[in-house]
Amino acid sequence: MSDTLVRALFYVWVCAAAGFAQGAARATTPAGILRHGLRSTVSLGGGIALLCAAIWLLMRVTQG
Amino acid sequence: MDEAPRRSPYLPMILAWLVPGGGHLVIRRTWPGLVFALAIIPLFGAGLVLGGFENVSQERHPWLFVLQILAGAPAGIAALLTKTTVLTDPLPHRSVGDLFTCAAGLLNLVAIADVWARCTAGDPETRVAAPEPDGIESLVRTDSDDGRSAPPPTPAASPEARDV
Repeated sequence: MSDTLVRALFYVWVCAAAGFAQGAARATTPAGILRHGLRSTVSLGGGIALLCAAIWLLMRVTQG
Repeated sequence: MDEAPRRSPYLPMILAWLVPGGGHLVIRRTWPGLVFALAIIPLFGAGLVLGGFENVSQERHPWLFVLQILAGAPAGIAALLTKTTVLTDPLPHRSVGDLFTCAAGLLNLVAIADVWARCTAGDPETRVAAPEPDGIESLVRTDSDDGRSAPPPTPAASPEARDV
């Protein structure tokens, strides 16, 4: 497994932990925590992925 | 889900800091407590492993330790147990280990804040959203406030006009 993939899995883990922690802060029941947690994980991970893609694109452009 | 009685938040907040998820268990919010514990403790442990058991230390990494100690007892215990650890080989994911341990501390801060909110304002489902403050809308007169700016009825719309 490449180093990039391992690193990406680590970031998925930290996004899921943060997302479900936010879900636990927004709901009390298991279903509510799951719903809010999944939504937060997706939005957080998507935001970070977009940011990473933008940085990668910027580096590609500036380095020619 | 029963209504949480309002109570002093200080003891649950201290417990939430010491043991991730512990504050929620004390105020009988089992599921949020379990989720916080399962999110924070494995994250901190994995960060410790990825950092070679060397990255949680007030002497070696004082700035990281400010965030790591927010995770409470796990950070304190790790700092005590790994006081004399010295890294001999470079680790490939050392920075991820730093990220994990610091993120665990910050997530425990979220747990502490949530315990405070649940003790003082109730569960999130029962909280009533605060009303919007009167902003520019209160200064702007709308059409419904007076009849002057309302459009007059068209002749075709009024029955008298049609009869004529």
